[in-house]
Amino acid sequence: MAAKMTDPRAQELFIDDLTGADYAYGIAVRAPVARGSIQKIELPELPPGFWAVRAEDIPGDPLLRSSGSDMPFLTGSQVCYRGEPVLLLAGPDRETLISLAEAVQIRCRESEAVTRLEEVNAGGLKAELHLHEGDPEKAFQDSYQIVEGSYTLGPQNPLGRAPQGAVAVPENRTLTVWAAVLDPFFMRDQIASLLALSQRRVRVRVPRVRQSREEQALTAVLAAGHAALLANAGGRPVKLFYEPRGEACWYPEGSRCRIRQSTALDREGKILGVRMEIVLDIGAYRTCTRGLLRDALSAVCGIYRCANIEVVGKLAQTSTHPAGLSGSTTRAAVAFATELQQARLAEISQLDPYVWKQEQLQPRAAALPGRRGGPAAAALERAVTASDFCRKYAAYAAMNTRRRTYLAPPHPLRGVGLSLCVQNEAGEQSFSLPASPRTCSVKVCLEADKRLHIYSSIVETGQRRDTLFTAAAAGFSEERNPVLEPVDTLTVPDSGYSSLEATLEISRLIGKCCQTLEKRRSGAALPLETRRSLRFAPEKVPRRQRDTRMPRTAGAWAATVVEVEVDAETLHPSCRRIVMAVEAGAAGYARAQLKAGILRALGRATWEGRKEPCPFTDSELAPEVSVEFVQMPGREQHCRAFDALPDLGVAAAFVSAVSQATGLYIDQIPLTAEVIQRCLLAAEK
Amino acid sequence: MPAGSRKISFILNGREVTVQCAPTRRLLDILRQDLRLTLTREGCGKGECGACLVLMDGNLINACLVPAFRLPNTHVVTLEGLSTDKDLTALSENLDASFSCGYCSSGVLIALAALLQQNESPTDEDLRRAVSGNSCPCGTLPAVLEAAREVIDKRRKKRHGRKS
Repeated sequence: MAAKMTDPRAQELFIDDLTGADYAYGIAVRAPVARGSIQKIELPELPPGFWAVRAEDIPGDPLLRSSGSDMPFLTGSQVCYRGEPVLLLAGPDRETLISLAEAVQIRCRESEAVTRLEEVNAGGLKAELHLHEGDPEKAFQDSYQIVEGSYTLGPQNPLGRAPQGAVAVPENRTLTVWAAVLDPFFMRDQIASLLALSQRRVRVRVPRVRQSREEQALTAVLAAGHAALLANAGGRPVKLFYEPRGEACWYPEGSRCRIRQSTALDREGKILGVRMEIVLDIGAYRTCTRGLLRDALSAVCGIYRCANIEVVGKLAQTSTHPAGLSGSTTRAAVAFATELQQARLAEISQLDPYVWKQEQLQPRAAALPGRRGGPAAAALERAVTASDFCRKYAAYAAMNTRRRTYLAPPHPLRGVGLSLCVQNEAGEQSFSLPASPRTCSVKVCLEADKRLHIYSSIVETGQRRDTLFTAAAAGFSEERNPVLEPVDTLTVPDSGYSSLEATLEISRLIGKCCQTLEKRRSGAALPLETRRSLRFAPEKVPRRQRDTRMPRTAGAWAATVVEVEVDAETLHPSCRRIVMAVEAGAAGYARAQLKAGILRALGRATWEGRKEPCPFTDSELAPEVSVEFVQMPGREQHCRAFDALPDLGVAAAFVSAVSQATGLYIDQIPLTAEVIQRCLLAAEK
Repeated sequence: MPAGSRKISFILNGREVTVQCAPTRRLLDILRQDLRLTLTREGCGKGECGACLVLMDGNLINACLVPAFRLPNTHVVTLEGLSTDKDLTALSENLDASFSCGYCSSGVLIALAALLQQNESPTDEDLRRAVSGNSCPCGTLPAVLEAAREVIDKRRKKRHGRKS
């Protein structure tokens, strides 16, 4: 019988903080080569109380199956990336376990690995998507000038520290898994399938964690699957951790991709058409879908006007760690390329980027129907004013043209960059808004203690859920503090992946449940229970209505200005100041979160995939960051997600600023001194 | 029981504790695994990030770098031992919203608490220096310091008001 679990709501925020008297520790032993076939696994003699699980010991489906995914929980014969889990070990003592894992010999016949996108051949392309709007062919034929750009996003720093892991506790013919995951029912189904158990015999519980790497869907399911396999084989609770000091869990995040963009301009410099090709590196396994590709492509023109668009998206398989791709990381990659291309077009047109962007804005971004100014224009105006962008841009541009040589000028090289971005709002293209319908459910009980108890599978992220759910129940008479029950697949109804949109829908449902309970409560015996479900399809909401329908999500807009200084001798780029103006409705409380997000985004743009945290996360070295909130009349109360804005806007503004400072065309992140040096050498040739 | 283990006694949060472990076992593992004091967190494991900060004889020290044989005759205080500290409670409540994932919060809180024990009116420079051994991969430290500044200023005003 398993020991009673300490209630993790008390103080334990992370899986690693869960403790139990009879827990065994679990660990994954990983492949030493990037590609090859396993010839032999030599295990050291295991002391009493220790046990191992191999791929052939898996009782059920060995593959992690989500839409498009084919990743095995443990590889049996073929190694597809360095660090792929091959074997699981468990035992009562952590130190002994680590030394046993180090003593395991995995002999492989190594084959040639594909580690770069340039090396991927036709067989490595797993999906391709072509989309077009208008007549791009004619637009390019009629054009006066075509501007081409190629942009690269390399492995970026993960910037996470929370160790990943899961706890699996077998008791009374069921298996309880404690894990930090945003979709607990998806995890339950995967584990049930892995162990060939019915879904009723697997229970997933989520402690109250805040935003952390532990929530990443596939990694979390993989860790939970490993813990479940060990607990199932050993018949006792297992706490599995991915060694925080190990290489394997520090894989780089972000979209690794290559983007080619061509823009057709007429004689007056107006954009006639855009062609874009995006090749996304998905790593060793297909962990993302065509939907994700479609999502990325929907952001292809950013918030700029363009009637004729042709985009080609490709998913390329390489021998690297499966990429943790999501809609926001792929959109950020596309936004990066689009913004840099716009900066290049502004330069070619000999216009200040502010003036160029104002002229090219979509009508919708520039001005809302019936209103004078639009959200993007307002954010742009505020950022430019607060940072004194135009004067600085002109001054640095003048310095740049007077410079005779790139090398060793007597003063530091300075530049300023500007970018615009939008979250949760696609461009004007008809192929945008790709989200599929989903169902949200909630159960609300008025218990014998006369308190409301709310049951939902939405996982708390950044206190957003608690605030919204409590506010939704505020109308219920006598209710002050509803009890938000912990997420447990045994007790809460399934609402799918936790997101702001789902949280908002469930808040509305809680309000309706409260009204129902209010009507039923007079004279009725307690407890009373009511459930509500809603199937909704975001894409069915006409785009024009998105701003007026509440509390559905709508776009949040931001303009970012980044000032940089490049050391003339070492070419090390450093950030002096960042100003971000945000139009996101009533998001004033989120200044601290946005500032932190800006520093993280800056870290991703500058700190090549390394284990160490980037220097900007140190309070001594962080640049000055200011966030300005822009309030648009009639949009103040709109609750809008804004957390991805830094990722969408900072990198492009930073690279534009470094380009201006050095006078070089720079088109890649992470941007390091070595990259600047390479560009410099290429320019001198 | 690991080979070569021995009994080691030290004062932890005001009480004497005895653990049976190898002399090279890290204080961090003793706190988290043997004594289940999980507010001292493991970050980098090499003394750089400050997630495992504890007070040892009044000095801030990274628990991941302290072997068990250093512990006899020392007085170790973890965040659990400071839970009755009013300054820390006020800081903890006000800083909570500034952290993102919160994994570094224990280390930052204990560093600030140690500063406030020595200096009731720290300057911005003092605050920055106090957390210079901490790093927050989420990038929240500037915001955390701003929030800490507000708490300290409020406390100072309150005390001045009481005196006058």
